[in-house]
Amino acid sequence: MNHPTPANEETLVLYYYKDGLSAAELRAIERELERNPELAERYRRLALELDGLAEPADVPMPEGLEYRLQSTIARAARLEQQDQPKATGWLHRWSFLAGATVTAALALGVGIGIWVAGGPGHAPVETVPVVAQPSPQWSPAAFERGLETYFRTSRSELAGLEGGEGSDRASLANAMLQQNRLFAQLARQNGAPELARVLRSFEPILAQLGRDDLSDEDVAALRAQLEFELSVMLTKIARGSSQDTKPNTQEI
Amino acid sequence: MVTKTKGQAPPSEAEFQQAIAQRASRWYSACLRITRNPQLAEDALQDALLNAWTKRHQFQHGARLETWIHSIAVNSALSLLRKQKPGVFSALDDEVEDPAPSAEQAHHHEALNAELDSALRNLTEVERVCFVLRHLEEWTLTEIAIAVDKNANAVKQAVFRAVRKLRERMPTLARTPS
Repeated sequence: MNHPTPANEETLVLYYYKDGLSAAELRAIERELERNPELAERYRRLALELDGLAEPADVPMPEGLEYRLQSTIARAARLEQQDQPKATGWLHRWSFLAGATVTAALALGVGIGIWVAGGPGHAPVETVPVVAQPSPQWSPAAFERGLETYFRTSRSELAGLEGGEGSDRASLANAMLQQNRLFAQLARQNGAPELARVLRSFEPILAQLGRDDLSDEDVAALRAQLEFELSVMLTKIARGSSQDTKPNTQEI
Repeated sequence: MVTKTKGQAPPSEAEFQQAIAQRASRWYSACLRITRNPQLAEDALQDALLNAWTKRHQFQHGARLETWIHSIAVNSALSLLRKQKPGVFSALDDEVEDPAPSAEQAHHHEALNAELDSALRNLTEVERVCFVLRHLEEWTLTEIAIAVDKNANAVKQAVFRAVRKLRERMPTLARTPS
């Protein structure tokens, strides 16, 4: 008979899952289990043990994750509803929040050190030339510079995409997404969850921008929206820095 | 539960929000079991939701939205794991087990079934992923093979090794009452 040796535990594992065996093999094992009490007992124990490996309880989600996920969908839905890029109410509200949180995070100081490499002006859209890594050294000023460089470089790269290939756009969007997550992670790990949330709120735009089925109008609208957001962030950072040194001369 | 029937429009934003409220914890847990990294699990979930939203017109009527997103989330976790650790599924004979979890990871893992979690930590990455997908996610061996870009026999061997190790390292399983 051309079926696996019933005594083989591996065969019993496959029998337990009813997977990886032919119908003939399954029937053969069933017959063997009926007439071989020792094998039936071994299978009963195996099945009991595997049944015992039931799905563990759900893990509590990190604080704020559910809200962020809901915001992500809400924002993605709003993005789709917008025919043209414009400074709508939610955008203003978000930008205000972004500015406030960036400023707050910088004022409080996030215990982050980063190093910044590269800069705008190079042609290929392979990666966003800003790299941030956690460091044991405390350096909110470096974090500010890193964020600023990231926003500025991204804006420059976006501008350079005009008339470019869709693959370049997807590549840039993906690189920005990864970089954005890195900054968000650094912010969250260092006590600036609101800044992390704001950075994360870029993701629906970036994800949309990375799609390959967009019309030229859609791309233009998303680009304009993202450039606007980046410009707002840069403005707020500049104001935040200015206010740090001239507390009474600028309004956040 | 959000169940669509034939002729209905794609899932709405409200249905997505409802699914998130009801099932996000389960999706996150599934992603965490695949990646064993809270940050990657979060990213996978975020990616999955955006992906699901973008492709919601492909949602099969009659299916459950939560289940559909769950499946996308697991795939997303696998994808991020591959990006994070290129070649992670290429060394099926690699016997290196997971390193001890970081403090942050340990906090999250406490909530997993402690004994199973501890035992899973003694599996290699490939063994753990294949076992979790086969046993907890109920994927077929063929589906797993496609996901990890291996043949079905290699996946079988990984599952066999995982089961053997888990049975050895979880003595309380043997005392499970019949």
